[in-house]
This record gives sequence, structure tokens and C-alpha cells, in this order.
Amino acid sequence: MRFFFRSRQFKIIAAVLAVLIAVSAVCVAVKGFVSPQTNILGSLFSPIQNLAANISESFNGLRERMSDNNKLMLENEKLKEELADLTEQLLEYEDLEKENEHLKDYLEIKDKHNDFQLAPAMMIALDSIDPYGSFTINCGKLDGVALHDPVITDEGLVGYISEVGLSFSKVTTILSPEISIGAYDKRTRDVGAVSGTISLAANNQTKLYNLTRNCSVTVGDYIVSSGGGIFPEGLLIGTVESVNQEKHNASLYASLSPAVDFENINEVMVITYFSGQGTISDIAGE
Amino acid sequence: MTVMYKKTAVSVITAIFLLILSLIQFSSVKFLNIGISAPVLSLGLTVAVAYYLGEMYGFVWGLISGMCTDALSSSQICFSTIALTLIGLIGGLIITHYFNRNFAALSVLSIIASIVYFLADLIVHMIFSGDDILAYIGMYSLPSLIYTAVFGIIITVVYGFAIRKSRIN
Repeated sequence: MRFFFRSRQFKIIAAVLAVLIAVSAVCVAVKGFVSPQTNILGSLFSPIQNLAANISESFNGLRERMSDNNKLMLENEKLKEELADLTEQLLEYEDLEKENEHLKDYLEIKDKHNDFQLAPAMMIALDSIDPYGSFTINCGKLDGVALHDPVITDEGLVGYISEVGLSFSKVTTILSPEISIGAYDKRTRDVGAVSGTISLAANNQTKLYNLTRNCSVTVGDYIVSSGGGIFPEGLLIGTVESVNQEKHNASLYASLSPAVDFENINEVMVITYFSGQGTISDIAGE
Repeated sequence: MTVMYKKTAVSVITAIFLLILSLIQFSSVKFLNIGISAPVLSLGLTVAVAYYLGEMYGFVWGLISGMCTDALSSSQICFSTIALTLIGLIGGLIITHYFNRNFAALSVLSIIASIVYFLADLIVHMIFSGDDILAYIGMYSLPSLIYTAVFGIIITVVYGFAIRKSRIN
């Protein structure tokens, strides 16, 4: 084993490890930096992930369609040809209707916030190692997405873009402690900040903290973003499930049930621009 | 006795394993999650390669598996790349020079590799996150560690069957 440590192989190994540590240090120093190998591998993998996601969605739709087909064929045995035509038309209609519903939901968002510029995206990979539910979407710099762009669905706020590649991006959700969103109670106007914790993330919840002791936040209240930073104002974050005392200080916190169903998330929108959009450095006052 | 394998054949088999495990780990459906804990399948593959093929293959495939994991996960600091590279190298060295290749050694290697990985993950989490550490250990690290160690053993056994035909001696 001594000879191994004196060998040329060991020197090569030590050099590779030194390069890796240097790249890591750069990643730590420049938040959001995507290392070259991550960019290359992510760009290579994202078409495969796209294909896998499309295939699984097609199989789900095919199974439902086959069940509908069987019901219609049993009811209309004599009119098989006409039924086949009608079924084909129905399938096309359902696809168009689903797309139309999806677009109508986002048109409502555009109507409410006509300064938003939106980039549609689809989830192509879920990071099962991350306990806070982060995932990868199929749009990146080439689609106008930038670091810290907010990500939403028609239901509410999902999170923000934490890494941007050329054709993919990674989304950190509101369940994560890395994220901190200025927020307020829509009914009482009590102000706080939303960030995740592991114990709440396990129950698919997030935390509204820094509430004063005399706040009027109660169960069922809607919590929205307060704006002024990287998130626009008025995005629905979630509803209050409970209000509790903090362990280590006198303030209160509320556990929130997110507006977005993270278990069934599939299509999202990235807000690539909104009026008053700030950056992390703006908030830090640098 | 040192077992030799055909280099091209094991490299192709290992690449196929890596592709399949990556697609399972990062698919849009949480196949393997129990709550928020999940096994790190790339660690299982690194243990398998280190166990059967030694330190150099463990180093190379730990590096490749780690890079793929970092590329596909939300990790921002090449954590998996460094962790799996070192686990592959040191695991391979330990198995080659200090243990016989049997089920007990495989179990110990898988458990130790999981402990090292999740300890490093906990340290990184402590540095970059203000989350409750005890809750993180109890709800995520410990269950995921056990889950990963079990999957490490399973993946190694399956990998062993896959490369069996590539043995030279």
C-alpha cells in the first residue's frame, strides 16, 4: 500500500481531487454558479429526462382513453365505426380542452398582473435526494430564464430558480430553508417571512415566522408575498394551518399549507420579468 | 486471488447501471421515497464498483456517478462528486487490502460508505442552512442512511451478477 501512495496513479488522483475542491470553492463563492461539468451533463441528460416524462404522461393518458373506449363500445355495439370516429374526435377535444384550461388559468394570472412575462415549463426530473422537493424544469437561459426568477402555477407560488443551465433549470421550493420570502396575512396585514424547515417539509408544510406576539393571524388565513424583492407582490403562498410560539424567542410562527400541490406538480410558469423585480444583492443592500 | 474482468464489458455494464439508476433516482415520480427519505442510488453503484473492481475503478466511477448526481440534483457545490470519488477510492483500497470479498465485508462497506456520505451531507447542511439539525438527522439523514446502505447491498449483488460473465479468471 505504501507503494501506491508513491505511485504516479496516486499523484493523478490527488491532482483530480485538488481540481474538484477548487471547483467546489468557486461554486460556494459564486452562488448559483453552475460548474462546466454540471452544465454539460445537465444539457445532455435533459432531453432524455424530457422523453421519459413525455412517455410516462402518454401512458397515463392512453390508460384513461382505453377505459373510456371500452365503456363507449359496450354502449354502442352496432355503431362501431361511428363510435371509433367519435372517440377519436373526443380524444382530440380532451387534449385541446386540457390545454385550453391550462392556458386559461395562466391568462387569469396575466390579466391580474399584466407586467408579468411568463415562460412555460414542464417538470422533467424530481430530486428525490432533496427532502425539500426541488425539481428540474425544461427551460433555461435560452428561454429567457435567469437566476432567482420566481416560479408559479395557477394555484400559487412554487419557489424560485436556484440554478440555470442552457436548456434546464433547477427550482428550489418554498419548503426549503434556503428560500426566504417577505409575506403578509391578506386579512390582518400582519407581516412575516416564509421559509422552510425539515420538520414542516416532512408534512408538506412551510413556515411563516417573525410574527409579533400581538398579531391576529388565525387558522385559514391566506398568506401572500409582500413583494419588493425577487418575488412580486400578491402571489398566494399558502393557508395557515396552526399558530405556535417559537422555542427560542418570544415571537410566533405559523405553519402554512402551500397553495401548490407539490405531490402532483407537473407544469409551471417562470416569471422572467415583472415590474419592480429586484435581485438578491439589491435586498442585501450591496 | 484477485479477480480480473474485461475492461470494456464492465465499463459498458457500469454505464448502463448508472443511466438506469439516475433515471430512477431523478424521475418525475418518487418511486423509492419513504416520506422525505430516499436512497442515494449512485452511492450504491460506487460501492458495487469499489467492491468488485478495486480502488482505481471505484475512483473513476465514483467521480462519474458523483458528477451525474450533482448535475441532476439540486446540489450546488459538487458535494456528491467529491464524496463519491473519495468513497470509491477509499472503499476500493479497504476491500482490496484489508478485507475478503464476502457478504459481511460488503455489508460493512455499504454501511460505512452511507455513514460517511450522510455525515458529510449533514456538515454541508449545517454550514449552508439554518435548519434544525436534530430534526434533519432524525427525519432525513438517519432513515436515508439506512435506506441507502440496504440499497447499496442490493445494487452490489445485482451488479455482481451482471458482470459475472465478464470475468477473465
